[in-house]
Amino acid sequence: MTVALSDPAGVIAMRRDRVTLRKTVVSCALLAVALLLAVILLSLVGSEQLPVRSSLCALLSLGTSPCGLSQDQFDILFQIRLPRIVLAAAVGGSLATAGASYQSLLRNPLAEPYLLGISNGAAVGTMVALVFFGANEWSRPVLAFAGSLLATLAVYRLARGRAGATPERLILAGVIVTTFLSSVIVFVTTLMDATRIRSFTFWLLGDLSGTSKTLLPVTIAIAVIGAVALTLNARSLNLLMLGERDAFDLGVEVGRVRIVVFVVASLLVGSSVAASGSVGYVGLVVPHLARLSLGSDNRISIPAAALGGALFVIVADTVARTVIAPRELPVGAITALIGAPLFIYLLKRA
Amino acid sequence: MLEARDLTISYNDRVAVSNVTLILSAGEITTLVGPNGAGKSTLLRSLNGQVSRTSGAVLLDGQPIEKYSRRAIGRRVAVVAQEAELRFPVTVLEFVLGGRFAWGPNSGWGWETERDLVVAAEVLAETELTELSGRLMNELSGGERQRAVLARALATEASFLLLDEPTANLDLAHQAMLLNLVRNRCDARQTAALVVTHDLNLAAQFADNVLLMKDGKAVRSGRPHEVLTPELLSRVFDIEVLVDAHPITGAPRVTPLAVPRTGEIK
Amino acid sequence: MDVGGTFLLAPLLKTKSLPALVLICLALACACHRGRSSFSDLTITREVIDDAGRRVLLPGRVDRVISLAPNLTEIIFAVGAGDRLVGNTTYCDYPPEAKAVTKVGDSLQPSLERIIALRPQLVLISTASQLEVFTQQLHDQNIAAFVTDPHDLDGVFRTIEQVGQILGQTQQASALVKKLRERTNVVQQAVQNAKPVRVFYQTSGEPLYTIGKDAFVTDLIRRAGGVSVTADVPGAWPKYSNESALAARPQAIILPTGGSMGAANSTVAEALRNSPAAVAGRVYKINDDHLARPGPRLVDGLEEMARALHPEAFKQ
Repeated sequence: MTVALSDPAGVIAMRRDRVTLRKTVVSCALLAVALLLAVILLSLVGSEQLPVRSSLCALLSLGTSPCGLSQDQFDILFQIRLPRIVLAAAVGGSLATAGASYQSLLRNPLAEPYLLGISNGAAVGTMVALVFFGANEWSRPVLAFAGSLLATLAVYRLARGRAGATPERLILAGVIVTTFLSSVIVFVTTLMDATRIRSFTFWLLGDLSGTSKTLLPVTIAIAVIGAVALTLNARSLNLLMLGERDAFDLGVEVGRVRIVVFVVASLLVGSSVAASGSVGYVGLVVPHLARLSLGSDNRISIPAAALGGALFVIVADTVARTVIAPRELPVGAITALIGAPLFIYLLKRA
Repeated sequence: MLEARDLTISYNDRVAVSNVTLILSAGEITTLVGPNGAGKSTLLRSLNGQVSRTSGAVLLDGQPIEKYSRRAIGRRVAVVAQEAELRFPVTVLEFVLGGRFAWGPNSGWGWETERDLVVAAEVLAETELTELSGRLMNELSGGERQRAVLARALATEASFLLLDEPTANLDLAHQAMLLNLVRNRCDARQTAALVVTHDLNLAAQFADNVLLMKDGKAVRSGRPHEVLTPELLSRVFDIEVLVDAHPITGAPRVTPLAVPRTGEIK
Repeated sequence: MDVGGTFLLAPLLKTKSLPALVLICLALACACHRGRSSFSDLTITREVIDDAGRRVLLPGRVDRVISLAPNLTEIIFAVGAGDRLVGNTTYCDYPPEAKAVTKVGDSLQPSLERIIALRPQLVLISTASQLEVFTQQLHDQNIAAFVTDPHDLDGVFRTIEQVGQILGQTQQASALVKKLRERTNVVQQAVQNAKPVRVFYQTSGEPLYTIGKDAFVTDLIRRAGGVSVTADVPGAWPKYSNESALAARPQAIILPTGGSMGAANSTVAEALRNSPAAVAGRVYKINDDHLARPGPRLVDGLEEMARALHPEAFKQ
């Protein structure tokens, strides 16, 4: 019995009940516009007051014309604020994408880079870089990536049982690795002197104020490449999300996809943590929101999470750098303050 | 043609399947029966390449199954098993469309084509799930969900269907319905099906061939009335049985008679 | 051993009563356990109030003192009581004799066991070490703990006098404070007519930390003829916004570095690279130990800052 495609009801139903290319493009375009607006509008906000019209004019001229801003004001806008906002976007996008991918791969809506120990692995790597290779800027993201990969490997080996690494065992192993690495971090922290401890603790909670002209483009590039690479595996992740064995039966190269997701996600987390410490909750709340509003299909939820994560961290960081100006709060504190209640609300609704 | 030829599978120092030969022919339903631990599921899983063999061969269209990519296998062989717990909300339509994965581009990206949608609509109609296509899988009853799993397998347009205890948690009506759907499919498209089941009567009713296994070995294979005999069944299952003919269909009807010989329960 | 116990012992031994013997041993054991503090209980005690408002009971003469902060170690040596220091922290490195003293841990996590084993009569604590919980633990062990918490230079002078009083070195302490005040006045007079230089004090570069209203260095900068651009920011060591640092346009930048800090914090923060201070080359590295330790060397730091900010006032 064939359904005639000229049947309008059937076709409409087909469109409504699944995610289409059009839905994806429209949603992502809307999010991208919102992101662009956020970048522009929130660079007008900061601990120093800048004239609104001149700043807008300078922004829209892409920095070619000062539009009446003094040299200091211009520097504040283009050397301090804008790079920071762009970094916030890259970090937020990276963490949300990584979170969304882990959740699909591990079939657990609670899988998150922090919970799985990946963030802490990256933090330990960064600490090693700071202590032993302090002078070399590149040592930080490289060792952070190494740290997150090692943490991933540790989690995976711990989780391997007779039935393979089931998601439950993975989460459990992740918690073990996280807590172990947290102790390592605390241990190293106690070896530091008082002033270092204060600044290091702040960094651990998420600090986007570090400006590195050389590493910012790298962080952005990794965020974009990572999001694209993971989106390109979205169809496979859709099936993996519903069951590893089923995905295998239906033709997914489970082993290959797993490796890709682990490596790319580790890279994303490593570069974020190296740049800004551990910004928590982004990888948990943003993918959840994306799935709730747009559906579980990864072809839409991964890019949406990337854009949404960027937006989320930009907003959180704006709060962190203005609410007690001229002092600053760690952005991780703000994402937790927003993220935790939001997550509880989402859990209740689901 | 999909066949296991003198297949032996052992792991962890245990022989799960021992020198079994099984051929799935187009249009026929073969049922695989035997006590727990007989190696039925292992054998089924080896037929789509999931479990690797120790010796012997699994041949798909004459070639060892190891030679095929997962995608290629996915287009020829489909599995219906116990549905894994769904932790993410997904509509029935999305779920069934998952069966079209192996027909899409050879990458993790891509969108469904018109043909994918047509096939999905067809299998939804075939399994009587059209009205439910927009509902979330979690909202369906057990029987409806299992039909959706079957629909997904049918959407792969595979020539070989492997069903691992598909009626395990279904009520009477749904058990019959599911196997009827399989029967219809096999008749309509010359699909071959292998059904692992504990229900000997269901097996008797729907099967063209029966393979009886015990401890990894094939005890007997053939037509239902040849395999489902009191001597064979009581030997394999360690229980006295009575086998008579179903009053309407004439198929063998198996009734257990007494307590298991090795048991003490009464 | 408790004096009273000895008197009881003789007649009871004569009775050859085992239960009584057991009782006496128990009593003696309890007395011995309390021996450390009960010794001081029996001598003359004074009561002093520390900077945390707590009443501290001290013996008339303190022979065994432990310092839990580098600045307190420096003060103890400076008032001439260094021979009575029986324990200090791993950070206590000045004067050089301080390095040889038994270490009880670092400022943040001192070892209670080590401290008890050294049998001090007094432990000096600086709130910069954030030891509120620890103070309670010492109190539970009947060890006198005195907390110091100076907020400005005058407070530091007062701390020196207090420590001198406690350790019976009142004369040396007064003489020291007098000299330090003289040096301070010299500096303040030299710069009093000069226009205050706007200073950014960079405690750490990345992330950017500076000094706020409650830090004693803010006061020090004022006396050195400068004004901290972050003088009215609440708190003592705030994390500061890069933009505001840039907008502050400081005329001079002070980098506390070297000393026990090593090479850390020896470069100006990114946000200040184009500031008037950096452009004019007015970036001054000063030994962190002279600025971070509220002790006698703070005046060294004051002089160094003043010389850097107003070189013309000190030409001799």
